Amino acid sequence: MTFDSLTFVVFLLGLLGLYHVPGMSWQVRKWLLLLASWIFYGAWNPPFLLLLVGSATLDWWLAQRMDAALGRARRVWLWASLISNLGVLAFFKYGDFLRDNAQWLLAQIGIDWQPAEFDILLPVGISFYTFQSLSYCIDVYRREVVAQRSWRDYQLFVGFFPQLVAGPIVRYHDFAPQLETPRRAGANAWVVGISLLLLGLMEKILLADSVFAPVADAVFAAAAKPDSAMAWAGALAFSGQIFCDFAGYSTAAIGTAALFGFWLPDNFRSPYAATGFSDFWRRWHISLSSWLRDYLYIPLGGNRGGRLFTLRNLLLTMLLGGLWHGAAWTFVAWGGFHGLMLALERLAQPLITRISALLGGVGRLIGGLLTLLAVVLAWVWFRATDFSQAAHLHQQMLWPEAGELGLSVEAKLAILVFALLWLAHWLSRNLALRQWLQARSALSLGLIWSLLIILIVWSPGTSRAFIYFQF
Amino acid sequence: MRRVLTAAVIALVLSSLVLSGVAKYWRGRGYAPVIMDSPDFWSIQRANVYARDKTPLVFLGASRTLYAIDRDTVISRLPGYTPVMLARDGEYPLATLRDLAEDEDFRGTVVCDLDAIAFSEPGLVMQQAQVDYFHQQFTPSRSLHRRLLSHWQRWSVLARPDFSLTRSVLRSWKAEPEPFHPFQWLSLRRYGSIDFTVGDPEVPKQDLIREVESHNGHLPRFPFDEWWPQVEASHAWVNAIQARGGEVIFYASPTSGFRREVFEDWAPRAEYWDKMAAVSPAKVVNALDVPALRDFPLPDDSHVDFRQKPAYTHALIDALQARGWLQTPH
Repeated sequence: MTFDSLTFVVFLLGLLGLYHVPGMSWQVRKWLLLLASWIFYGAWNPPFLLLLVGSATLDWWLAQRMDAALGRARRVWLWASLISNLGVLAFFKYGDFLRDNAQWLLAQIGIDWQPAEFDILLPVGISFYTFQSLSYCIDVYRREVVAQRSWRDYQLFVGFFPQLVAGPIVRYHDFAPQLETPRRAGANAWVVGISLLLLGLMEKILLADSVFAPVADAVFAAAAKPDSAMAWAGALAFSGQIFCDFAGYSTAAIGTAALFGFWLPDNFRSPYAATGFSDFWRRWHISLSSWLRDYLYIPLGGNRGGRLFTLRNLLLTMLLGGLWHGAAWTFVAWGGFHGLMLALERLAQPLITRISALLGGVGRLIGGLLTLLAVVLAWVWFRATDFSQAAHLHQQMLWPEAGELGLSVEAKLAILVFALLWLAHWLSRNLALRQWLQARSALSLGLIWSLLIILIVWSPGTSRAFIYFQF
Repeated sequence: MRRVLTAAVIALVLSSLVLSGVAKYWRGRGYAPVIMDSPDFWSIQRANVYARDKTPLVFLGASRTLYAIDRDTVISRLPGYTPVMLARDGEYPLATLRDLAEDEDFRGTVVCDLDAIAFSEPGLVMQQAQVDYFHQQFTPSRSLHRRLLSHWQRWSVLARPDFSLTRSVLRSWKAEPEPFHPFQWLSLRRYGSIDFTVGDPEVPKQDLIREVESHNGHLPRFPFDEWWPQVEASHAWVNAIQARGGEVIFYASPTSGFRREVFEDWAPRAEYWDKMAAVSPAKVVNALDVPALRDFPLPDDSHVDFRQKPAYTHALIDALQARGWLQTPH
């Protein structure tokens, strides 16, 4: 089930009605949420619900053994969790990728290996719920949290439907306290919930699917050979699409959770207003970047081993972060590019600080635009079907061939809307959206909601799957 | 909570007013709501081929069947059957026939509207993407979504993508004319209709003339040797359905005028269709051999006007019952 479907409207209204029935105990409400989450997930592919429940049950059990164990035994239980989680992820997500690359490597040394076709279907959301469950097990190992005794509560932590399939990746220490005390949506929660749900749907349905996607699809089509202007239009359109698609989902997820009285962490904070790559990763997919920082970058040594080790750790973290997004070398290249930019930024930090102090606000604007330019260039690797397409587009964007340039009207609209999106990010770069919404009057909220409803309903068209569902 | 309720009331009233205004504007321009086809819409019908109390009667084909069969007539004439419409506009149906053959649970009767060109290699895969969608992406959730969407499309002109905000902005920017007035539509059960008093039947005729002229007067024939293997491949699919107690009827629907002449030149009946008919394990009938169908009025030489659908459906059922291929109610 997806947020932008009429099925979800029926599901959500029905569930809200049941959840808020007066007199129902908190224990029953949690069972209701768990059952609803399973229906939400199972409506896509029922057999994969067993995988979700099974892998969460295994982690729940392993974490308890780990919690009770001492010394070396704890490490054994941790390894069991790491192997099971990463094994499932490797099989479903990277099976074909590993096979194809092994086949290619063997062919280089003259061995003709013809492996069987796996034809593996990727369970939606597997990267998200695996990382969420994994972080819990590591936290239990580190004794940062106590293992959850309730099977139901742990299943709800992993499977809570708003964030199940595309995040935000929720940490156990943020979610567990919310399971302990009964949750009911108060007035502020309703304000934030309705606002964010509508905002997320508008971003997805109007901006991502209707304005940006057609242009990005045309430019990144296999047979397309766009000129310089269209290559830029395609890159900007995809930059708009990926943000509105993914942030749209996260925003709707946070809003939906709020309607049940749960608070999920922010996942995006005006990322295209970032001034620098480290700033970008504090604003883009925050729950993943903080996960990578806490469970990969810092365990690798972080910035504790000198400059060279820090750069190595940055690069490794971002390469693996790229691979997390998809089983293709283009994602690795995208992650590598970001790692390289982070490393360069760290090396040039003293210089950047001096220039920023000299130029003030203008320097921040220039820094923001340069960051945006690099981020847009990097998205080409993320979206391209292969290296040659990415190289062709980069060539067109950076070294345009002489000749007549043409932009379709659709492309002009996408560029215009992207410019407005950037402006909105820049103006709201320090805005705390939830608090801002809570401070609005009934009239302001009514006007905002009606505008969002109009934009959503007035945007019928081809429904596209959320991009991050494939990750 | 009062603030939330007040805001909600303002939002609902204001958005309803604005959206109703937009809808009223387009209705005032002569546009009516229409139900549009989609992979989900087709898939809902594909999931309906398993009726046990009655015999599923599955209509396969392209636009000539999609826009010609009248469901009410089928139900009244054939009370022992449950009709299912799986024809798709512009696509030959053999990929769907193969899919039904490979589906062990399917035991119905298939009326497969096709001509000789359907057995060409391109014809063989035309509906494959749709079949794949059904097996790989169609879910109960998509089914419910599409059912609700169909009702919304039937009720509001705003459900038509041509009237979306983005398309309206683009159309205005490009100084393009208003969207065309649809002359074809689907019912909630996915049976199509064409109104030739709205749509100009001369347009497709002229298109065909231009197409033929661009090939110097003759459409290029498919080499027989490349065509025949697909005919042979279809035998296994027909046999599979028959082995489970089902039946397959290959039916060439009528064309008229220049289109009939062009087709005879493109794939002469004696060299293609009749050779297929001679060896196929399916029941085979050509509309040219059924007077009531051969001379049926086709405004654009290919499709039936929606007012004629019941008469056409009666003629088709008559022909199939006369041959003993469909049960006759006692």
